[in-house]
Amino acid sequence: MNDINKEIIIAKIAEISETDATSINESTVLSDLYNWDSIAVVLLVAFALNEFEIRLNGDEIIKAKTVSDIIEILESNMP
Amino acid sequence: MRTTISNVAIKSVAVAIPSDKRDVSDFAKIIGEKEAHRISKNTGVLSLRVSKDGQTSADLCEAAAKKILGDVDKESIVGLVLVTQTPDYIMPATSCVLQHKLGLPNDIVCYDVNAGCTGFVLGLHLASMIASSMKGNVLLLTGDTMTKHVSRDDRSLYLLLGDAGSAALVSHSEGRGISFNIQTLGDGYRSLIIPAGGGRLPSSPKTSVVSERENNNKRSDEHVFMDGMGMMIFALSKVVPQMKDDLALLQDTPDTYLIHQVNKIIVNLIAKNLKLDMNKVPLALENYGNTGPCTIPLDICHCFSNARTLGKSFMATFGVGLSITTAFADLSDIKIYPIEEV
Repeated sequence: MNDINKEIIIAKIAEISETDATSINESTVLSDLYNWDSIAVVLLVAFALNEFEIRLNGDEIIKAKTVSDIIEILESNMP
Repeated sequence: MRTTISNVAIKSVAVAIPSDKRDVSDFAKIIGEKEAHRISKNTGVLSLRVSKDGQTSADLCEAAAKKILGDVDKESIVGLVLVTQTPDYIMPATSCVLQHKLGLPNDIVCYDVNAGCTGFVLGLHLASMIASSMKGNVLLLTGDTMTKHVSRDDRSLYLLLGDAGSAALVSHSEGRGISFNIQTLGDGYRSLIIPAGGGRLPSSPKTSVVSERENNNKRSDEHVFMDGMGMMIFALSKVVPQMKDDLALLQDTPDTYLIHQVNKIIVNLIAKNLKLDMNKVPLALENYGNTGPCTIPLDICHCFSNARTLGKSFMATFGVGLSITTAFADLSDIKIYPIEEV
């Protein structure tokens, strides 16, 4: 995945978790983010569908521990 | 299980809701403005109705049923199906109490069905079998008062589950029919549950103790528990594929998609996954919340009228059980009553 997509994903995670994007990087632990709950997971699943046409069930996202895990999941599911 | 019941149709639908409300500002007093608005924005629920003390699901269903019975000869009723998880008594069946209160004939069959979110379609399946085989009219009542069972300190449910009661007339109708696909996934029974108060874990001083649980929510074992993440995965991994298969089998394109109003983001996500035309997916949870077995009737009575008809309608409900139920029926000619406050 190119850097632009990574930036989009990090920006989205920041928006969902209502966190300043500059304080998030690939090693950020998701559970440390404010509001990382089931709503956040659904919003991320919706984002993947809208932005990249990626269909996720959500269970992949729940297993993710860090921002880079999310990037990896999206990368491996790219159509 | 796919099945089609012949010679049956829904004739009319009515809904009754309590007059008392709970809204975002009530929610904000408990969890703060920012969090209340974040949750409300995503669930799409701005307010919901709360039954009064002493006001039961049966009372709401009775009010809705009276609207329908105002236009039907009571002697033509051959059956009553009540779908609720919040009956008046452990015994007898509340459907028997309602047969009496509604002044229905003795010569009818009454069933209580314990179902929630999928209750309207499950009840419709049973009511259709009765109406078709007995060649008569069946009253299908669905209602729940879950606000009485939700913890005030459960942020995932406090401004999500609302109270309502509905009534529908399901009638023998030559040449018509309703097709169903009913799936039961009992291995997920723990995902949406009130653990205590039944035979498995009787109520005791211990079960009524409120304590801190997952995600900072506080509840007791006598309160409703919902595994939010689990239910979301269930919706995407099980409900979407079933709906996709069902829709592929339909001969006609539906005019309306009545999707269980679980919350706004999930309904939108399901619709987006299936590439449905959002103009055909009515939303009616902004001021009612998720009313369990009443979301389909509320969707009908809130978004449609005798002037704005539904047409051929695909219904999809899913939830507690767990279960997934879908149905396809022509609802072009149903009589729709305005929502009544009680």
